[in-house]
Amino acid sequence: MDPSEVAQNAIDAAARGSFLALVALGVALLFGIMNLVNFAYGEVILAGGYAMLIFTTWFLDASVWPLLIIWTVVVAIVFALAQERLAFRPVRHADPTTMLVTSFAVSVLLVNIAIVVWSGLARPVEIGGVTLEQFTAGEIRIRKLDVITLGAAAFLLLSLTAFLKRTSLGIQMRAASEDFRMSQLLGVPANRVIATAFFIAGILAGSVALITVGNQGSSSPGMGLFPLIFGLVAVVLGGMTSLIGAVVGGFVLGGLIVGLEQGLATYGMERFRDAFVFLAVIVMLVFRPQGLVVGRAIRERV
Amino acid sequence: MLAIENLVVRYGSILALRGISLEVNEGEVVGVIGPNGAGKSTMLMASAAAIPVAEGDIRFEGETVLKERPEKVVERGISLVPEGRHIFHRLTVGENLELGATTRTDAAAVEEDRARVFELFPILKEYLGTPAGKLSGGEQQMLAIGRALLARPRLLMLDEPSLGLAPVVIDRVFETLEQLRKTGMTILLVEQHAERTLDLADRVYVLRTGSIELAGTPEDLAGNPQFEKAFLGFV
Ligand SMILES: Nc1ncnc2c1ncn2[C@@H]1O[C@H](COP(=O)(O)OP(=O)(O)OP(=O)(O)O)[C@@H](O)[C@H]1O
Ligand SMILES: [Mg+2]
Repeated sequence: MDPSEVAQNAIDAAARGSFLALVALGVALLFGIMNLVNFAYGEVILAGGYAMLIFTTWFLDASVWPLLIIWTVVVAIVFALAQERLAFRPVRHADPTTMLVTSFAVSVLLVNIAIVVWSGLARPVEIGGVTLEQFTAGEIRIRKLDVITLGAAAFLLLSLTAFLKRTSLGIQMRAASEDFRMSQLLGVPANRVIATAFFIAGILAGSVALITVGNQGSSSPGMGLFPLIFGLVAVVLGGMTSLIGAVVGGFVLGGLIVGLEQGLATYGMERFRDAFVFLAVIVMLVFRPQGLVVGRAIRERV
Repeated sequence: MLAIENLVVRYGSILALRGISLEVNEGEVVGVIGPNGAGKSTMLMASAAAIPVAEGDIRFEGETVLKERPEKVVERGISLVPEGRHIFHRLTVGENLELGATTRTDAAAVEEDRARVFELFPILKEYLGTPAGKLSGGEQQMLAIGRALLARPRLLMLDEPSLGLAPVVIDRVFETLEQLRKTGMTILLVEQHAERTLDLADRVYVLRTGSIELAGTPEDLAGNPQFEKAFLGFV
């Protein structure tokens, strides 16, 4: 590979990685606070996607993109908070299996509502030329959307870090995700930290929806599933227990995907990319079952 | 101040507390001792409104704490240092302490209380920016107590603060409790170290298999043959 090709692939991998890191963060945040693997998280992304469809068909066109972004993120936040309030709060004290089944039920319900309203087919979303625009620098072509993705991810990661490190609510969130019961014993309100986790997850899901629709130019009932599955894999890769792990997992997975695409293309086997991705993840977990980043202090000191 | 009345707690089919009654008056240090599985931790967790209660009542300053959320109970003035300390390993010592003051709104008074905690445990001040998981067991226990004090509790409940600590460190913990008692703090202390608890407490209850077996002043109990046989001989 010549240097420009390497640079090209690195940019691709970084863009994919930051996309997956955003999804993984949302998944890891809810898992950390509630021990909930929320399969319906994909449908928060879905809600954001159809919010974009509604915006561009009924209200305004995508040229007022700041409004489109705000609208999409707000809808995703509302959906995330509604999931918490209506579906998960009533089963909060039930065992993890019950919560898991609940999240499946919510996921299936929302996907089917989307199918009933907008059909099972992908519906094009008119978002203008951003999908196609490119910067060129010598041999390297950079998609504008990848730059936006990287920038958005960097902004969200830095803001989230600042929030978690610098604000009281952020410290309460970290405490609750390490030891929920103890945080309650100190007076941290359970409802507040859980709602905040869903709120942040909503922001992340809205951003993921914007990027997804930007990439595929359409909204479809299955659009939440791909990010969710790969986001879950990224979280597992990262070790399940830390947000940094989720981000690292997302970037590693992004690199893996781009690497495999390149490698497999040489043999005309791109179709098997996902099989190889999962195989690589399984192999990694055999050798390092605790994931890439070990979060929760496993060693109790006496 | 705290009145537990005919408290029954079940875990599924396990009867952990079989109708116990216990009282802590303002300014008192009350000890509860008993063997493993007696229900001591259960009693404290119920008083902190952290687990559901089947029957009976727990009143703090005349009003029930049942059906209250745990965070509300902290606000009302009960703090629990639970068994096993439960400090947040990944957070710094400073952040752990800040969390202790979650329910406080009086920033200036919190600052005073922080200073007082550093007087009590100077070591914490040195480790402010260190992840709490790096502290030794004894230091973690001091952090757990300091953190609880930052809520400015009117009733401090401690669950086996000496658990897993070396004898010198245990001495240090009991010294601290003695200092707190001198400030007039009301303390409900669960312990397995019978002798040390008798030295510190104004009154002691003995809990066994979910029932109060004995109760009285340290002098009463020290002279009680049943108690001596069960606890003091082996210490
Ligand atoms: N979460 C739980 N689920 C089921 N049973 C429990 C639970 N917690 C405690 N128990 C049971 O309730 C009884 C009382 O337990 P508890 O922890 O209150 O005892 P303890 O006096 O604090 O013991 P130790 O000295 O070992 O800390 C025990 O039989 C214990 O097995
Ligand atoms: Mg106990």
